[in-house]
Amino acid sequence: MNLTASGLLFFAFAVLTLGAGTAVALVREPVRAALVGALCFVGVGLLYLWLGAEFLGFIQWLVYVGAVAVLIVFVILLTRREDAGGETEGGRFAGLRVLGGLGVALALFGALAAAVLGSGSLYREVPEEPMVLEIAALGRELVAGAVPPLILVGVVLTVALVGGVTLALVERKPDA
Amino acid sequence: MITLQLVLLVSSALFCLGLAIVLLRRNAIIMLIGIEVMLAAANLNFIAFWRYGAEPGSLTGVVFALFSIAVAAAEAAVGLALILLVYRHFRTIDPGRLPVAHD
Amino acid sequence: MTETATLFLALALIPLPPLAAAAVLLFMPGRLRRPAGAIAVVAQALALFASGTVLVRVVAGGDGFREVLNFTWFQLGAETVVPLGLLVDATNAPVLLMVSLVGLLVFIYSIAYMGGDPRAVRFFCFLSFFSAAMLGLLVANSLLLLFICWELVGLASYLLIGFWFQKPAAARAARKAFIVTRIGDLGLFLGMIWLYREAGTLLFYDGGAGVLETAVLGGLAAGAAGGMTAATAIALLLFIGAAGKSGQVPFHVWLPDAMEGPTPVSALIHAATMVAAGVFLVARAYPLFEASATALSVVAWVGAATALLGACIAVAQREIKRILAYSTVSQLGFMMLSLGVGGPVAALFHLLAHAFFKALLFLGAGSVSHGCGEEKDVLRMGGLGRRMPLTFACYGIGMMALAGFPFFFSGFWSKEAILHAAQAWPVSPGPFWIALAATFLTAFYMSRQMLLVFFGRARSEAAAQAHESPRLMTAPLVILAALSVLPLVVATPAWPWFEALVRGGEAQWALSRLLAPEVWPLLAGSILLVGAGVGLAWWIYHPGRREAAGRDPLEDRLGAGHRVLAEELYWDRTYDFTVVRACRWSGRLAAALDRWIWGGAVALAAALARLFSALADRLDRRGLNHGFDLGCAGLRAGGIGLHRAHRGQLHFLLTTLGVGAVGLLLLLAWL
Repeated sequence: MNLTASGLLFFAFAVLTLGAGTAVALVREPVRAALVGALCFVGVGLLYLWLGAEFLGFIQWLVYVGAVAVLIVFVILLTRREDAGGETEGGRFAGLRVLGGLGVALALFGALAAAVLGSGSLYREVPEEPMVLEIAALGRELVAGAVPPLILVGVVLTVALVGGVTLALVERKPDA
Repeated sequence: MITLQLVLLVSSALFCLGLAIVLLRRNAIIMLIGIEVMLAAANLNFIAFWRYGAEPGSLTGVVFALFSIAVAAAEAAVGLALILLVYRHFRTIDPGRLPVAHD
Repeated sequence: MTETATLFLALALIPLPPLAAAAVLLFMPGRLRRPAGAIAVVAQALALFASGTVLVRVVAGGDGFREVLNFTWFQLGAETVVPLGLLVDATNAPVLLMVSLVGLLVFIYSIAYMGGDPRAVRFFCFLSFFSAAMLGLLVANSLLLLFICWELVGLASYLLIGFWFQKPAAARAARKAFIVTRIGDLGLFLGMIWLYREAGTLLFYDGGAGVLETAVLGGLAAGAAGGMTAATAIALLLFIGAAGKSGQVPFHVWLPDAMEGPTPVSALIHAATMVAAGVFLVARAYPLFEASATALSVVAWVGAATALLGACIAVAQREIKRILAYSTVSQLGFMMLSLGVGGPVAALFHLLAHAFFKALLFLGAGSVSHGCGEEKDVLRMGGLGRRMPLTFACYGIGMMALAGFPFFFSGFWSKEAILHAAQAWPVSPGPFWIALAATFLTAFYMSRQMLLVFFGRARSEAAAQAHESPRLMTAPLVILAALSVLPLVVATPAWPWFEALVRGGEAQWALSRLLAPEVWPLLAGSILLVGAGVGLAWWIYHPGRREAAGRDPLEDRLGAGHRVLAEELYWDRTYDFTVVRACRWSGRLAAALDRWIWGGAVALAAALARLFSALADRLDRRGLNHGFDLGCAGLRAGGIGLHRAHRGQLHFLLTTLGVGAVGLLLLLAWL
């Protein structure tokens, strides 16, 4: 296999993403886990860039790294407490659970990989010429072909916003 | 060179990582991160199929991924609000220790 | 806009206003009862107006007028297109007008009848939803669209029968109606799939390629499978669906129970419109049925059996609405009989006429029970003619129309046309004689009801205190009474305008045709039969008779036979002993398998682990080494873990989900 610079870049991004993901599973401290999670999202955004979907990569960074990760860190800080802090370590069946979880995840990966490798039609090289996602074309596609979903997504986001605020609203009780 | 299979392998690995995070951690917030990782892996598939697709002019994959990101953001917001609420009620965010998790 | 475009605009505007009303009412606060009724009525009035426009256009269109508008619903892959369509012709246009008109009157009546109910808004929402689905069913040009609306009216019917779900009887009746009609719908569904496989489309008319057009029908009639043509099999499957909806034997058991719902529901859904959907389906797919003589014979015989059984059972019922329900079953049997013997026009006309006078009778029955304190037993009524004169007059008209009193009622002429068609059936004279018997019984049981309710003296306190119902309830009665009389002018043998509309051709006015040798003997005969039925009822139930209150004089005359009829031929009990019991036992078997075999395996594993740990524990206590102790602790933990796992731990559930996903993937890859 002859690796070009572009191919090396892909491997680098993939390793970054997967490594950060592994770290999320392993790091004990929630804040650190959230931060490596953000790193993982950065990696996914890099992969988007590598695939030519620049706009989507930036969106990914804005939404996940800029908004969701920050939100997650906030919530972690809000729910931090000495007695309930972090995770309930172990319990008596921690080993069993970890084993089961790992087993299932590995088995799923095995099955997926077998499926991917088994279908020959997926053996397709990346087109030579660099592909550029034109934002204008994307916009046209959105307002021409996907108006109802666009509106629906707007509604979903609004409802989520209102719902989130409603849920998180602190009710001031007389005694609290 | 990088083939579609390789990209799909990476995204499957990412998906399984997300699943592992959800299954291994007992912190609802980290589990949420795991779910987001799984979603990101799915989006990576969309983009990969768009990139390697037979019809590069068609933007369906990108549009789909865009919507998916939007919905994932909404889901994260509501999920975190729920976690906050759960924490306020039960003083824990370990799903295993919630009284509702049992029958 | 071209004329056709206007027509389709009007056609689309028929089901849409009630649908919009239902959507609005769904979100309306429960205390706004009056505005809710007003919204529903206005929407229904819009639908009525649109139906009127469409009918005018169809009448003006003349011979064989038929317009279709097909459009793509969605597309699967490159070539599989799923089209839907709207259709208007002389078959559905009059029914559309009837449904929206009866609907409007029932809505108005409901404002008075349901005004005090705390959930009235919800009631109007369901009612509007039903109306939209029913009208959608009528305008469909695709069996698929028809089926969708068919299921929606079933849902609306379920919701409305069980509207007072606090009453266990109502909840049970709703479930029964839903399940029984669902069995029929399974037939319709299978028929639809088969039809799609054979024809490749579900559109009724599609410029020569629709399933009701000669090109496809020829292919259906030719291909044979298992001793019958595809046309026969498909028509029979469709007929199962129609029989379920229209309460034909042996699916009729749900219809009388459905009377647990509010009276306007009984009038609109279970008398006038939804139950006629089965008849309409057969009438709509008539070319398909015509392609198979076997299917038509089955329709005719099932219809005849239903007509006779319904009439027999109605004779011995005591509840005012139950009598009417069995009468509906019987009349639907008449319609099916007419379709089977090759008289679709007569069936359609009977459908329309029956809708008006049966809605009238049900609303009248509601007014009667409303007037005398929710009393439902006809043997505990009596003498209401003087206390509720307007209801009495309207009910009388409805009763005479149903019983087939000569000359001035639509029911007489439609029944006449059915008898005529049955007489002309070349295959067998059986249905004709059965229909004559049912005619006699119909006259008898309706006169019985009339005499028991409105004549004689009051046989209970409530009946003596009865009062006339409010104006909002009686006004629809008067209009429906007028409609039970008026339509007769378009369908007498002297001026067969309706037949000309549906069949094509020009209607000639000729009074002499009434005296034609193939018409007048039948006319005279059926008048005699009706007279005999009324006379017999008068002889048994004449107002001056003396008998103990709450006892039916027919009981003494019929003896054991009366009991069998009053128990509805033990039909329900037979089902309880066979179908229901079989279902229950198979359910129990599955539950036992689940509990003892699968659950047992888990419990056994846990028990084994515990047993081992207990054994090990004991050994350990007797002084074995420390390592053994550790092993036994592990085993014990395993046992408890298995046990706990079964209490629904989130992570355990998630892991199981993951295992399932892996299994599915492997299965897919393997296949």
